[in-house]
Amino acid sequence: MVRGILMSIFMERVVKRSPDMTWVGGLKGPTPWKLQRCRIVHPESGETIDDGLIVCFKGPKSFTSEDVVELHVHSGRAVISAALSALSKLPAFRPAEPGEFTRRAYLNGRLDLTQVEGLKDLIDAETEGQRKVALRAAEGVTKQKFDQLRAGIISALAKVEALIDFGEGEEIEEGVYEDAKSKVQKVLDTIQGYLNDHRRGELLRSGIRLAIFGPPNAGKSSLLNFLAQREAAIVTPIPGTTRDILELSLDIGGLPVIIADTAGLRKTEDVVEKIGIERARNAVESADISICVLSFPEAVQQQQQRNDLGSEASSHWQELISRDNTFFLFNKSDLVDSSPMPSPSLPSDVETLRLSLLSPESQHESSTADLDLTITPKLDACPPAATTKAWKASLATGDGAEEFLEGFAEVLRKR
Amino acid sequence: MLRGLKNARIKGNLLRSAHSLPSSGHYDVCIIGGGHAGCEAAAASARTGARTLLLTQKLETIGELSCNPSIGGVGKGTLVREIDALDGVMGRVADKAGIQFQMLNRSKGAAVWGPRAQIDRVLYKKNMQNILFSYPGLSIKAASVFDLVIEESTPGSGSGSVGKVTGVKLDSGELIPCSQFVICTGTFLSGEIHMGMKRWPAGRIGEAPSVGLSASLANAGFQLGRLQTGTPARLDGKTINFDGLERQDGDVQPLPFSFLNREVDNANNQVACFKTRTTLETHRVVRDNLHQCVHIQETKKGPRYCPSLEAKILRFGHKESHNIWLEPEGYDSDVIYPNGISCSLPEELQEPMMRTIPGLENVKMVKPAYGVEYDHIDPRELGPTLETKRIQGLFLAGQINGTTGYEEAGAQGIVAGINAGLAALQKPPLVLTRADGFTGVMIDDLIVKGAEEPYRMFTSRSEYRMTIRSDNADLRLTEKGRKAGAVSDERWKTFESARSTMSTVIELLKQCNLSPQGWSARGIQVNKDGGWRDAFHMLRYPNVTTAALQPFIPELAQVDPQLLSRVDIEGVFL
Repeated sequence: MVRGILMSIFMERVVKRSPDMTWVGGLKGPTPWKLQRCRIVHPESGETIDDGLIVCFKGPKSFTSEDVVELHVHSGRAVISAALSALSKLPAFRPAEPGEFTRRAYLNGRLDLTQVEGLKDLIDAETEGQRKVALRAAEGVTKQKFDQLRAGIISALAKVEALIDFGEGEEIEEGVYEDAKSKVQKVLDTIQGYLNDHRRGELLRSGIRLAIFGPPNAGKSSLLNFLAQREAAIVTPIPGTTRDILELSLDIGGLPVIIADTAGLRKTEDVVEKIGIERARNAVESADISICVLSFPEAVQQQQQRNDLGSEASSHWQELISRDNTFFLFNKSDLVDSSPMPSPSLPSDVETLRLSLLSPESQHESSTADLDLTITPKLDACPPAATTKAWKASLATGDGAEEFLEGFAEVLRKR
Repeated sequence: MLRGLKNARIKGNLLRSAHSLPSSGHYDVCIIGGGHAGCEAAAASARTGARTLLLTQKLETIGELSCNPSIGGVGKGTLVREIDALDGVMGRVADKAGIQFQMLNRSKGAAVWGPRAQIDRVLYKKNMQNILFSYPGLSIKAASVFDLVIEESTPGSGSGSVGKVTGVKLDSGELIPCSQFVICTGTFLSGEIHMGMKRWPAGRIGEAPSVGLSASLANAGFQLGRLQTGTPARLDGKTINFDGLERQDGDVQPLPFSFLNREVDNANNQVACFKTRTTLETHRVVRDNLHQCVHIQETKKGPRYCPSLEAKILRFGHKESHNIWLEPEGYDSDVIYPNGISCSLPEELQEPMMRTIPGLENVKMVKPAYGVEYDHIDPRELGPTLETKRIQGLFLAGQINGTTGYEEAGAQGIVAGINAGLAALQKPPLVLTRADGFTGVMIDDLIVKGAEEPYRMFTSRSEYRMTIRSDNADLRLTEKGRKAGAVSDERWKTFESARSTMSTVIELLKQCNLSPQGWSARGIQVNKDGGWRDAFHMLRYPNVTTAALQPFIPELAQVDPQLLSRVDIEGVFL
């Protein structure tokens, strides 16, 4: 793109009309806002560099509000290089700095800061979800929201000032104070609403932190591979900031998810349990959401044991379970005998299993989510409630894996 | 308007004083303009010890109230008290010339109180002139300023300004040398009066505008803007029927403006104001004749808070009537000032228009309403001492800076006057910040934001309004003024005594420390939270005042009740 004041020099020396073609409208130069064919020529030698297209924007109807010219050339390296070199021969032409056009648009009032940031997010977007949000910001949706807040505040302020400055004997209408008060309350509620979105915006831009934990051999690494191989959607491996922890950035259902390493995920570490548990604890605590992978048959068995023996066996990893942020995948469902269980009272439903794994304290917390339980007697049925927090699948056979993925993506979207 | 015996006496006084002035002499500070800003500036400069000369076109208009015969109001009243705290004259003169006193917003709390008084025009002028004509260090001369003499700065002199003033040239050709000047010309700078479609140069009706000065300021490089204001007609009170109109009387115990006064001169002799309103018929007359008002047709900015009747009808067309206050102009005068119907209708239409108003069916107009247009300077050209950045030694104060109102002008005048005097004596300046008072708020607003429309003071303009109130102006400003050398000994003594009494009382109250049970035993209920509270703290509670505390703190009975009520207010806000 070329800046406007010198456009005429540029037009005369570098851009010539194509042979056998007249400029649209029969003018001496290209008509603004029309894409036309032209020849790019070298200003000194007159040699044709390329046969391309040109469109001029006359300020203020341009991206930056100044005069802007766009040359569309063939994208070969040599062509571009020749074109740029030709341009550099003209006086007072220089390459734009990164973001300079956007900056000019901002300084000329064409974009406001929320739109500029939205534009940056749009360029940086790696997932569909990020793209959509960025586009809306770039279009000015965020700006409108802030403008509305500002207008509300100014209006309430004006009313209050009128009451302070006039008031007695000046016949201000009734209800001005109540009006101002309710307006302020509305603005406050709106702002609180934006702030309470659980960092959704930030999560969307920087990624949801997911931690995977569980006892060894439950299938954590299988899960990781499953997620990573799905649609070959690994975007970038991000080197972590703490020693030695690798993070993978994935796209799950259009949302960016960063999976942090926990003990047992990578095959190369030592198996000293303490260090592993420490790592797991850190990862889970700093994560926004976590998945506990358990072996289904073992879980059922342990549940039975607990019911029968009344013992409260708890492993270290069980301490990491949180009521709201931990989701369960009961793996290896293929290893469970699908014949009817010996005892009808045996809990086979994943939700009950999940509940039983929660620590006693969190079990007693009331939660409307749990009240939605529909216990089905069938062995391998998962209640399709919107509040699913546990899934049963077999990563080896792929059975139930799709449901898990969709269900989990749904969970992420809701947050 | 002067009438009768009083006039002769006043004229006599003037002639005598004029003859006793030195006809030439060296002066440190020269004040141009004898309006509200000029009077304060002249007195203030003289107080600092600088030899001061006040130049005004006509000696007998010193202290003239151009428009509304009242001083004070919401925000404005606080400015008057601040002027007084710096030992200015407006407050003292208003106390002597006030004929009705009212504290506005009384029910809304001390932070928004606005002391206000209706003023007898004649008494105001007489008292102001009395004070100024015998003010030590101040000389007064009738003259018209034609040009400023400005010496250009040598480049690289490091002063940042373009030049400095060394003298003024009068219409008579005489040159008066001076090192500091304060220009307070009000609406006279290239003033033009509008009445109907007629317009003619004038600063105030019947008085010539100041043209030369406008040109010299423009030549010096100042950008001049043009503003508008207006004033209503004056009516013959004998032709007004007050029956059936709402009556308003003054406060029974008026609070004086000045900290030096315990009471006002005319507390027991206050006049009443009456309220009426315009009618649909009035609006019709105005609307039908808008094409005949040149004033409203122009695009210059008028005072938003004193809109002309045309402006009110245009902007608030849905309102069926607008309030009008009928205010007496003085004890010896039958003239009534109708507050709220300034307009610039043609003269012949004004009386018929007013006769559509209840009570004014047979009214006779004594002076017509008119609009006035005048030049003003962009106040962003000024520093916080009101000295222009461009020309050293040149200060501007009052309506010339784009403000409207006597009080706003006076507050600027006193700051400019003090600083001009200090500059002449080569002493450090006095700068008032936003936290110091409404004067500081106003100056800061003007020099930082400029004045797109005439600036009027309001309580809401200050973010510190809880602490910069009308009752504590002296506590905030008198000591500052004293340190700068602008506060006289008499005032300083009165102030120190008041301050020390108040602080003794507060100490006394703080020593009375009781538990919640202790307070309830004395008839004052507090939260039974086990916390001890002292009596000063208790003043926050509604209905707890020093009067209520007297039974168990008997020493309070010895204290001046006016100071006690000030302590009451301090207790609420601290």
